[in-house]
Amino acid sequence: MSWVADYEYTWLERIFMRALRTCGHIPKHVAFVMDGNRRFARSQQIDKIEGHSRGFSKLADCLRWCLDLGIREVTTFAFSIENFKRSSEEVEGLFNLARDKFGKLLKETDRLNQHGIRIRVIGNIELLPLDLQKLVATAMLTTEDNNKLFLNVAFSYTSRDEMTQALETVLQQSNNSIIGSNISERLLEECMYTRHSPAPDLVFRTSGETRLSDFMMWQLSGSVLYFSNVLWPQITFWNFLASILAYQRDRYRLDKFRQAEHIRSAQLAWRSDFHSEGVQQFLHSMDEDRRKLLVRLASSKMC
Amino acid sequence: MIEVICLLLGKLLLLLVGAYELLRRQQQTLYALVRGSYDFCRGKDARERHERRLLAECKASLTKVPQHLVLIIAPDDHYVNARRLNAIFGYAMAIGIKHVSVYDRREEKDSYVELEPLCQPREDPSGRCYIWTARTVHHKTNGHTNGHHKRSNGYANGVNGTHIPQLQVYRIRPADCHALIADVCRDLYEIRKTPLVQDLLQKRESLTDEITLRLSQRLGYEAPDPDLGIIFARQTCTYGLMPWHVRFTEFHTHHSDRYFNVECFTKVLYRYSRCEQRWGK
Repeated sequence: MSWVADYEYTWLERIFMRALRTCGHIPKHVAFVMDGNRRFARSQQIDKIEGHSRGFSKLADCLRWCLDLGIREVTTFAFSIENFKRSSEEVEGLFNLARDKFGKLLKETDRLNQHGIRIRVIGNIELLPLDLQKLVATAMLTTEDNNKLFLNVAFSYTSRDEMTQALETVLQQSNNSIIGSNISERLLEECMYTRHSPAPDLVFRTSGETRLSDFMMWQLSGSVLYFSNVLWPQITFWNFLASILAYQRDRYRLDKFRQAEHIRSAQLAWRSDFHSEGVQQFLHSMDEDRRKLLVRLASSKMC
Repeated sequence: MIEVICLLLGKLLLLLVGAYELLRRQQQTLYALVRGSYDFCRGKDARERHERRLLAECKASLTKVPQHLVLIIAPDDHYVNARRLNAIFGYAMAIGIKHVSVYDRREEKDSYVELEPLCQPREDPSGRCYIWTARTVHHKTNGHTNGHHKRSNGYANGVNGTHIPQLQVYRIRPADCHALIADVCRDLYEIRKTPLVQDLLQKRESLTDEITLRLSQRLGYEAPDPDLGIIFARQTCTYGLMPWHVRFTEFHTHHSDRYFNVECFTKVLYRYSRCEQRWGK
């Protein structure tokens, strides 16, 4: 199974997709909480890992729909740090699935390059097994020049960990390029894993749960939240289209709030000297350190 | 040709959605009018008896009760006023909820509700904490309350003066959300060379715990993270509510313009009670 499915649209699906694309505003960034794989497995009396595998197939379909609809960035919540609490058998099964999928991704880089897809794994990847760290880092480095569709996979991720990591980055800065008054929400935002991504316009959670489960809590202040009762492996093109339609309906009402937040953020950046040479130097060195870490992980030798 | 068909279909789809929204709003306004008139006609005592009965039934059948409820009010909401908040506080206390936070994103010149007329401010420097009692005296109104009450609002269960139940109420401001985390970061940055911070930097979990502690100190109150959030808006959005604290909060949206009464409140609680928190497992 490829990361981008060869989905065969029916003529009706094609027409509705074009209709939405022509008449309404298409979100730039959609985040998915892919919930319900295990419940789906239970309902179908199949193994949990098979449920997760079917979930991945749906992600590939979803990526195809996003690509065709013109969505530029997709973030998916694949594995939470809290999921380490699950049975070792299930955690290992999920890691094997990730090994398989990232391994296949590396084999189909031509296809990803053809679609211009860049893979970014957000999360504390150092908590993962070494071989998986290597695969993840290699996948990120291999696709780093692509810029048509960004796929952020939240793996070994929680929002609290991300925020703590942002504070840690500020506190650990070694060259004293920032001062206390430079520290603001604007600076912390740039220290998140999602530094180079816009905030999600739409967050789509399946399986009927109405909580966010520690996913992108910092970023989703002005996002439209859409909760659907369908289990992730059962999601259809029509469920996806319904979420886009809901976004098109709701975004006007959030525009004023988002604009006000944008102005506030710009004022804050000005007050905290965010554009000063020192702060930009700090952010530049942070980017370099993050890339160096990826290169180190990708080139590490396995025992 | 196909382009024209798609364009027409798209316009038709948006028109249908718009028409549906309009009809739904009309229906909700009508329903609110009918329910409001019915509640008014049957009298305060009869309404309170009905509410007490429903809340008692609900409390008896819930498998779990939220400890901390957060009310999120959208910037464009015109529905939630002081009277409604007062009623919600009453429902919350009757059910056994201990803490209620109010995150009102409206401007003070709009329908923003001051908590002082509803609750008694607690003596704390942050000015965020209040106490609401079933016997709270309403000394003044802010244009939304419908008069001066100087009696119980019907939810007291210890009416002889021996035990007056209290509800902890907190006002959450936009500055208590992302900005508070930046404040904590600034505090830690000032002492970054001390052994305390250097030790915290050795282990991320310790730093997480320290941030939680410092956020709590800055907020000035001890309360569990909100378990349940009711969003009063026409769309579901957190409006930047406390990103550190609401990670596992169950959100329920109550569409503005819809009548909110004890039935709506208990419905939200039943839904909350049914949902299973797996905590990652």
